[in-house]
Amino acid sequence: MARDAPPASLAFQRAGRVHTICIVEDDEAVRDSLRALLETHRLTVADFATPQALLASGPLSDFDCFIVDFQMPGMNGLELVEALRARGVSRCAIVISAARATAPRERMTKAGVIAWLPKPVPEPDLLDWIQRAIDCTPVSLQ
Amino acid sequence: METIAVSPVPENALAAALVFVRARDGTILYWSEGLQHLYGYSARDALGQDAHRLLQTAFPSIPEVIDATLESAGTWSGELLQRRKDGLPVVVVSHWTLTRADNESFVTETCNDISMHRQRSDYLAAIVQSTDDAIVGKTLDGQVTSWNSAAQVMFGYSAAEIVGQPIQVLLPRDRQREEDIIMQEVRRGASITHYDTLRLKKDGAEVAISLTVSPIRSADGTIIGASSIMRDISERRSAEERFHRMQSELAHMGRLSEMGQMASALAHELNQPLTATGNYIAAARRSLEGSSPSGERAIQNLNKASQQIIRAGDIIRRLRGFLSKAEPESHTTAIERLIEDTGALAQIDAKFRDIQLRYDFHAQHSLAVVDRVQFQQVLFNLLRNAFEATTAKKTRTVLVSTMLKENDIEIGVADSGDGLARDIAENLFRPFMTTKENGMGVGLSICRTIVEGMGGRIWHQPSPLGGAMFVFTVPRAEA
Repeated sequence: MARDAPPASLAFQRAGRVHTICIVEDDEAVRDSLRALLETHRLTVADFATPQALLASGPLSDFDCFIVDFQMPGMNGLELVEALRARGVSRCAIVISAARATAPRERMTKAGVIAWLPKPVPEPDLLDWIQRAIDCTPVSLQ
Repeated sequence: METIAVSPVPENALAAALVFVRARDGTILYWSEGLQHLYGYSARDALGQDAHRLLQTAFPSIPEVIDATLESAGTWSGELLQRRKDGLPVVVVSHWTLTRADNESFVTETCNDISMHRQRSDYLAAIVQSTDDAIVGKTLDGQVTSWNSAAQVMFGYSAAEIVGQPIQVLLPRDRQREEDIIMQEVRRGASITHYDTLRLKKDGAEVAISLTVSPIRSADGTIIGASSIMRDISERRSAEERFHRMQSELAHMGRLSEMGQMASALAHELNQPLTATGNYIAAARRSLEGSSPSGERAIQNLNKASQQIIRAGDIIRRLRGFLSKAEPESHTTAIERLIEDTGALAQIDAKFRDIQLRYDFHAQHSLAVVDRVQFQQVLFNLLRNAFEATTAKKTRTVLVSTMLKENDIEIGVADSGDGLARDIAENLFRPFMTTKENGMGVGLSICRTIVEGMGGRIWHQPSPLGGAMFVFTVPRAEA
């Protein structure tokens, strides 16, 4: 079960650009700690307490990756990602949840969700998936 | 003996008497007019005939014995079964008197028709013989005097075997004193009614009975014995026991499910601070990397801390995996039957027996998709709450209703209690909210979890009976 410490540096700065991660999480401590962790990896973080707050914010195309909680008031994480797709956003998303995955895999794949990670998420796993999200081919939009 | 006539007696004054006179050989010599009414034969029909051949008399004893009694005592009395002219049977009490005159002897027979009494007592005897209840007569010192056929079926003894025996043979070893106490009551003139106890069969097996014992009085009112009526209640007993078992199973499942729901909620709630702690530790370690030798030691400790977070997360995941095995199974179910079963279960508790539990079904023959146990748990909970709400009321009524609403069936539980205070009504479905002294306050919150899990809703509204009413919905099965 023991895990090695994460690699000291992940190549998050591709082409000299700082990547911006968008976090949507209604639990304040989880949101704040995630921001703190990602910032130590020299990632830029934008966080939102509710899906509505994100949808009402500025240009959504500025984000390189979305990390969304599943259980949130009003709209769940998967519905939020689908709403982002409907608005032309093509970057991949990671869902983190305290619950087991309940949505069908096809629906998640179609929405561009590349991973469903159960809380608490080990740091190496999280960083690995963030890297993949940043690298992934943008979701094809119909 | 001389007959003293105070005033002249008209010739027809004795004509209505039921009497005939015959010779010793049976030849009828006198036949009163009254007998025509009783037997259908006129004096002309009867005179000169052999009396007992004419009446086809059946004697209670052999004719020679009767004749000997008559010869020695001068009289004889007994019950005779005879036939009328039209063939119908008639039962008479007959008094015979022997009169001697001039070497000849005559027999005067009076005939009192007791067919009506006989029919009545035969009728009563037939009732006693045909009932399913054992009916047993006994003397005050406990000797069995009568034993009907149901008693034979119930206990295995025939009347011949047990009449004259002490009733104690039916008493289990540990209940021998019961009979003394019962007979003390009977001697005082009191009755024992519907007393549930055990008796022994001939083969030694116990049988559960409901016992009623009443004194038997003679014509002058003296208590001369007792009658016991015993009803076999083994079936009722085992039905009750089965019900009790079901009830405790349901309560047990309810508790397990409550614990499951709580553990599940707890697991969810703990994940959030664990996740945050893990992230903070990882962030702190990142900040310390490469700083100083003491920083390196801090990093080692933080690594150990994050391993513990991972471990806690694994424990919770295993717990959730275990809980999910007890997931409900939904079936298409006729809920009215389920509702009535649950109502009966909830009312087993003696303190709720006097509650008038009524049903008003408007969704008859509709099928719902529910997990039976979970459905019963919700309804059981709501019923018990409703019962308890009526505790202090004079009229204790609870009404369970069903109604069709588009794709759902609404089930309402209304009580005649005091209803709910406004501040309580607002927080009703929150966990740990209770108005009961010993309540956990998880009942309604779990009801809501279950109902929502089944795809329904639950709410509170004023009751048509004046108290509170809870309504929940379950999805209808596709028609």
